Amino acid sequence: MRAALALSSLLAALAPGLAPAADAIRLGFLATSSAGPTIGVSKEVRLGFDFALERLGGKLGGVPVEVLSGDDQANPDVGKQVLDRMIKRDRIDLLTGTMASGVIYATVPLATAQQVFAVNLNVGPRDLVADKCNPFYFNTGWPIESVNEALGKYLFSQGVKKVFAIGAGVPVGREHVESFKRALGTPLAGEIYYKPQTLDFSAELAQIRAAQPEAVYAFAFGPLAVNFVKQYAQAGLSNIPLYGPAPLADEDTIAAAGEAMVGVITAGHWNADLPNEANKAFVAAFQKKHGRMPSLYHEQGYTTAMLLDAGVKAAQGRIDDKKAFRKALAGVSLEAPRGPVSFNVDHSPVQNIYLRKVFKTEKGELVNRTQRMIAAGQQLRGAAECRMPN
Amino acid sequence: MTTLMLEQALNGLQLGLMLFLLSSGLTLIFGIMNLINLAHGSLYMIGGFLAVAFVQWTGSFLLALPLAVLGTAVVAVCLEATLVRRLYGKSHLSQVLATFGLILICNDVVRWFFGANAVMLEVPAALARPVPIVGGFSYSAYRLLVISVGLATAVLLSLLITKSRLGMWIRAGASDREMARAMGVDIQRVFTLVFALGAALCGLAGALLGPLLSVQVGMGESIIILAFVVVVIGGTGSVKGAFLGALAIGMLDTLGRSLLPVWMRTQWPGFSPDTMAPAVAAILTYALMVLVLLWRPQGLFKTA
Amino acid sequence: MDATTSPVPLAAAPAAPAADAAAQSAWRLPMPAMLAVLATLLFPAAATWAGQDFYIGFASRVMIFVMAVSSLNLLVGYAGLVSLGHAAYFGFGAYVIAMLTVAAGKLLPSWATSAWVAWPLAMLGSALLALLVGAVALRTRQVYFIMITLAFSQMVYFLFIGMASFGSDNGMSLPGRSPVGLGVDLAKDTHFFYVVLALLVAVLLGLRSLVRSRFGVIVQAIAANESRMSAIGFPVFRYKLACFVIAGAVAGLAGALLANQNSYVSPHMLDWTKSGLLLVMLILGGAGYLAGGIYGTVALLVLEEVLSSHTPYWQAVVGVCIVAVVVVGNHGIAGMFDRSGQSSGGHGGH
Repeated sequence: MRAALALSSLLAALAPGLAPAADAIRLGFLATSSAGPTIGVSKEVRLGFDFALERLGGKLGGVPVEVLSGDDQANPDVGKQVLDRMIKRDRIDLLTGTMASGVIYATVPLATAQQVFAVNLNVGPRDLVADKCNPFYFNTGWPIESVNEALGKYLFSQGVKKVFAIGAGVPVGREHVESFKRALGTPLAGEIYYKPQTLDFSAELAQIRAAQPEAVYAFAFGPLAVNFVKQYAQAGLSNIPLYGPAPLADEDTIAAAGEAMVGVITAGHWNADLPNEANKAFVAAFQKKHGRMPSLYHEQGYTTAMLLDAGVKAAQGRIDDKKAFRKALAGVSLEAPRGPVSFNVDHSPVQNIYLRKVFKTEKGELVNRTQRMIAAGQQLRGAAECRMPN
Repeated sequence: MTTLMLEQALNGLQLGLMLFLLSSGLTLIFGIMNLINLAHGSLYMIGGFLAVAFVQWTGSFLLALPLAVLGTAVVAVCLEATLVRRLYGKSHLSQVLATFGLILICNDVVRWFFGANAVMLEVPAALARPVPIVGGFSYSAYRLLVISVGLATAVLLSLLITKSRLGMWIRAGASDREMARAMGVDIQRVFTLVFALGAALCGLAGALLGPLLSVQVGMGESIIILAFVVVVIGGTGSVKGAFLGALAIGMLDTLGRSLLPVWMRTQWPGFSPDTMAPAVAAILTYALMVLVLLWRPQGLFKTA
Repeated sequence: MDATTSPVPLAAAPAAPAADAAAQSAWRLPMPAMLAVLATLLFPAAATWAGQDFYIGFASRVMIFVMAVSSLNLLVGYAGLVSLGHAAYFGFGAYVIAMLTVAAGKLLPSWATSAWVAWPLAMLGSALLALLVGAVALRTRQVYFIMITLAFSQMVYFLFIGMASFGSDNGMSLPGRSPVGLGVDLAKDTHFFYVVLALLVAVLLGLRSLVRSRFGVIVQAIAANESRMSAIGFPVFRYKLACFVIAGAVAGLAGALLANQNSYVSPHMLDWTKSGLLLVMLILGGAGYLAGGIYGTVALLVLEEVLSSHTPYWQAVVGVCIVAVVVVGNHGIAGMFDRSGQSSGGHGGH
């Protein structure tokens, strides 16, 4: 009796669900909110996305958007379950928001198999583009190889030979280091990976010190980057220059790590001081609303929304016509805060890469200054190998 | 290589002393009150978050530290009076369950107040620099402070146990609870004091490690198991055992994590040991506990 | 630790026949049990009609956990062995499926991934692991047994974290569910649901007959008073080990099913907090009652599903429920249903 009662009340609890607004776009935002190293960056990327959505009046391409939030706990297993629910019960049209690479690898195939557009707004692994491209997958963040190869080439051009590489032990960690290593040309003085839950880098720092490299390449983000850089300085290693992809030194990590960040050089697809009009407007509006400088993640969220907006507009609001929407989005070309951006044939982004360095001004402020553009309109190697059905 | 070993030895000492702070309370609670408290790690987390709150309030880490320790003890006394007290007579299984539920509650309460993000604590500026030790090798001043506080606490704790009245009650309660009660010791008061003492030690560890490890929800779960391993190895109820066990585990874990990859790379040059080496180091820790349990089931130092 | 107090029996009543009667009365609730079975059989159709076919997959997941928790019930509720490392056998079964998937076509013939081969192998793998661990752990008692089972579980957890070929920390996606043939396609949620249901019913019936058999009675008697049984001449260690292995094997089957359900394996399935969760589900439902594994698992998982869409702080609610159940001192949900007049001692422990 009780079991039957429980069952019927269960069904009653499920039934209401969400009353689907007939014409709204249902967008699933699957990010980390309760556990895992990607909590902070997930929050920032969402902030940027919401900021854009607000400026667009809650609409993408003129069509109202319903954003459904999901928590993946940085766990691919949980992410898959939540996505399954979003697709089967909530019938989402678009998926975005995921920051944890393990979750990306697990959820993108699930989404694309069910013809849900998966828009990756963070680092783009090679395994999802080029010869492995998929019509339903788009990367609006930045391809891993693009940034790291640019950085490696830069160090090579500076004559730096003995580099020690340390990367996060996440699925894309190896890809970061490998692409950097390939472009650098010389063998690494050391290559180690730390667990993403690492809070104490003393063991890794000791190994770095023992290798005595000319420079150190570090892939870290959010709290990992802050802890690493702080402990790096505390360990007295600051005389060895520190390089890395953009997340190592973005506005938030710089603010949290403080003086330890001075001198860190990173390569990224955007910086707060880029002189183009779109960026000036973005930074000014963001500062006005939130009282601080936007970071890399805010820009990623913001530009993703802008790209989707342009795509929906080009498809004239008809995102249920999957083929038409796909073509429309793939054909988008935008002046974003990061500069000009468009999509390659494999849906990886075509954009500029900049070199940035952290300075301390006379006033004692810490700023991340763009040194120069190290790659213009960079395309992912092998993008043309993509064979997508027409 | 020797600087590497020296640095790692000091790091191992630091980890071991922090583990000692956690496990000494745990072993006393377990030995005297016969209580398995899985939520002991939650008190460590609360200590860290209280330090964050007090630093924000007073602006000084050195002031926030004792406040956090006191705060954790207060929280513990409240918990003891409301919930923990009811668990004394129950089976270990019930205690495991109830304290597991307590972990879930503590995590969400902390999440409510502080958010799910990891929070950074600043190392006090005066200590954020390396201190030269020997021949060109320098070590973080803050870590030296942590080590000193850990050692001082160990000494104070052993003095408390051996020389004070409370210590006498504790030892009496540990060896024979019924007899101690019959002799007029106010057992309930001893229990409350021991629980509060254990919590204070946790809070101290949480606050001290805050600037090094950052403070976040769930940080207790990972370390509580190691603390239990130390308690089992050292012998329940024995602070001396907890000290030696903690140092052993701290050294084994740290040296394993840092030296094992280096050694593995020399033995098998092509093989990339990054994921296997830390795993092996962790496995060794548990293997040690299993060996001790099989050889001396009561742990290294029997109390009763 | 007092060596003189005998272990608190969690299962066996003062006399075995009474235990049997209580088990019978807890299981033989005629109308409700029949209704529950009927409701479960009709569930997929009902869910599809309501447009909520996502919940067919959810129900499969619940059933898989019921299987794992019921295997733990044998250990905790009947044999009196509190294991805080049961997630190891659950997760190991899942990893066997992953290993077979990786090896198929290379080291092994491609039919190695078939459910008919892979699932029994998963059970065998977990059984062997349980044999290894049990042989060592069962030499200890009480809290030390709890700690050793925990230690071994952590070792297996770290072992899988260290294995880069299975994705280490991040786990590994599986290409699809195990092929079955005979017109059954597990990729279809409804087919999978019925397969899991059939296996679960088989497991529960098997558990029921095991508990009532001579073996089961002896095991419960050992849990009640081991020294007496040992003095009588029973090979106590072997009986306990057999229980441990059986429980491990069933958990392994549940693990294989979970790997299929998620098309994913990850070391986090083996984390100690997962072992704790299995134990919580069991105690909530009522250890030592055959239906205890069902009640606790359904209650907790449904609670999680319903609460998590309403508040991010659902874990605290679950925590409060757990604490309440322990403090109030009931023998779990099954204990509340058991109105057969058994007031103290015996089932569910205290």
